[in-house]
Amino acid sequence: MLESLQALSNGFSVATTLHNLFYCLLGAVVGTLVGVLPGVGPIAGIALLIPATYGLEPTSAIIMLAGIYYGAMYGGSTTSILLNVPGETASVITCLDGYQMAQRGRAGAALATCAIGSFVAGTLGIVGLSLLAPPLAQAALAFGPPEYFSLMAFGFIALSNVTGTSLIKSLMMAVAGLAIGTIGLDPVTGEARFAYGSDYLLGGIEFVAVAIGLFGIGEVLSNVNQPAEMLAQAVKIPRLRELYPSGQDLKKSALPILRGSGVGFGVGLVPGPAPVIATYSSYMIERKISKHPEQFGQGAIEGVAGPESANNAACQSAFIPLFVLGIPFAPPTAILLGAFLIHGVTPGPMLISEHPNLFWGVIASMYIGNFILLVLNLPFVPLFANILRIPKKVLLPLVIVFCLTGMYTVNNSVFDIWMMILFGVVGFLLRRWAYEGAPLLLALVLGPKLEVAFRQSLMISHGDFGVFVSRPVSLAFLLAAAAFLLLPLCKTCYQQLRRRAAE
Amino acid sequence: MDKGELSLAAIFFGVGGVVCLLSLTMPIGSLRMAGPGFFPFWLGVVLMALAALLFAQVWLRGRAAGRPAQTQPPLAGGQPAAPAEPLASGQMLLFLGVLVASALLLGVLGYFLTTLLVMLSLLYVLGSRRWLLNLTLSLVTAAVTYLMFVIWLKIPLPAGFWAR
Repeated sequence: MLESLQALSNGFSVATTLHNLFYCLLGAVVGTLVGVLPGVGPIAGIALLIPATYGLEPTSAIIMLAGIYYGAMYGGSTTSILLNVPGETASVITCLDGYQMAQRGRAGAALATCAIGSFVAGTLGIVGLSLLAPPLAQAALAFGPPEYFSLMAFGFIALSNVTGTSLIKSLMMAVAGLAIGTIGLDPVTGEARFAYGSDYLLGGIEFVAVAIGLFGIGEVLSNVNQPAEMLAQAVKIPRLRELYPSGQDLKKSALPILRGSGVGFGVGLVPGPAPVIATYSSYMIERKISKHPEQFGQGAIEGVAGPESANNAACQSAFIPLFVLGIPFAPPTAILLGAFLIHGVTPGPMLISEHPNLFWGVIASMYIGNFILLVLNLPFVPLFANILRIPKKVLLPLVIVFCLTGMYTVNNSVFDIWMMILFGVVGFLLRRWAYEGAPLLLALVLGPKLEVAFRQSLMISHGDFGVFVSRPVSLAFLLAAAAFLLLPLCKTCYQQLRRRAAE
Repeated sequence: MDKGELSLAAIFFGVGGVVCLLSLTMPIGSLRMAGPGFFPFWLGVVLMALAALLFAQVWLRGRAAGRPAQTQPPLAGGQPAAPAEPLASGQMLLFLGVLVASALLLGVLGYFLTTLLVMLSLLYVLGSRRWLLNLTLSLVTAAVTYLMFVIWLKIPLPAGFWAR
């Protein structure tokens, strides 16, 4: 505890250099932008800015890229409240009551509540992260290949279960991602696989190309496919009368903010798109325990404060599995893992002891970043909202230019651009038939780790699959995975039976 | 019955099959000492199994729903997409065409000129006809991104054929 405080204060001395403060600010601004713009999410945002960090030290790079992720959680609510269009999937719930508040002339109060709630929850989330990460890293040192394999298998199944409409489709995406991940060098023996003499394929498919393709180009193509009238539309921003919530508003939102922080933090530790699930859970809880549930959906401030706090807390605690185990549970942290590896740092149980300045510097920067975001999002919200006045027919070409430029600069390779376009078309098609890109991307990043863990486990056990169930921690993960697989199956069967009975 | 849904499942089944076949050209090894082909082979098998499951699910749902397959309430197996709209609009295909052209031209024309042309044509494709505005916007975008990457971040971008 005392040691952690000491380390954290060292972290602050790293994070408060002018250089790192600048990148923290930059990350926060870009994150807010990415959050405000519907269609451009944190995944594409982080992927696009990875090349811009090549010349930086790893610490500054991670400070900025992490800032984009948690910054997007702030920005996402702006469009939900003003336009009823969520800037991020994590802000879908905020539309319900946030937009209603705006309709009643209380947009300013809603925006301010979001910013304050996000700040409180984000900061509490980082406190939890700083306290929990060191002991968890100690515990994770005991993990061997079987535990890692079972944990990752659990992660995939849990993520597939909560994303999209169909478990089968999401699992297919995960398996496809794993298969794409096998292209290149065999991580155990170093033999070439599926390369066929191509230098590009030997290096493996660039995950940034897949990320920008699926989540950037694919999204833009879906947008372009809309009728022309929708593209020409410029949005109208309602006037923000006053940006400060009344004392009563604050009193009403205080408890939802605290509850949202708790719920969000817990959800963030479990695999899945944590911020999204956290907002749903928080909204349900607030409505259930409210004395006036009929106001929900009519502009209840609790319905804005709770979920918007929850997604920030979840976003912070989602860093724990990344830092401590080196295993991201959702695409944005998967992209961050990629960024770590590009900068030659491998997150995992040894990260805190091997790179204390990086770890604690990034943690300290998160405290600072949340403060910067509070400042950015209180007085400057009208400024960011104005970006929405840019019509889509101008915005989409700009996004494309950023994708093309960003993609090229990753490896100075035109082949990467081809890959990006290919995965853009794939992303467009998958979206059309309700497949989720998230499991594919996560599988692509984690694939080699999963394979190594699997093959090493079997080497240790001389080919005996019992190794996965005879070790208690591994068994627990596998049981959890099985529960996630069987749950929707039981649900479907039950629904079918009820339908039959009703007919 | 949603034909697109079924075809996509069939395509995934085929992809799984191809992955299996290609993996068999590499040593599979044993459980004790898995070879490079082991993991991808079984991934292919799982992908085929999942795709077959999905195909069956969509097929059965379509049959159960009878003729008007679209009115079926969405089950756990995914939601029926609106079938009436065409897969891709002409505008979208043009847009995609510009992307492909940009990948072809980047090495030839260089970054600045390619970006300029990409912006101009994408704005045109999306229906923006204010030429002066389009040109200004494209010039500024190309110049700002070029300066940002080449001057500030010192990341080289293709200069084009005249630089050689």
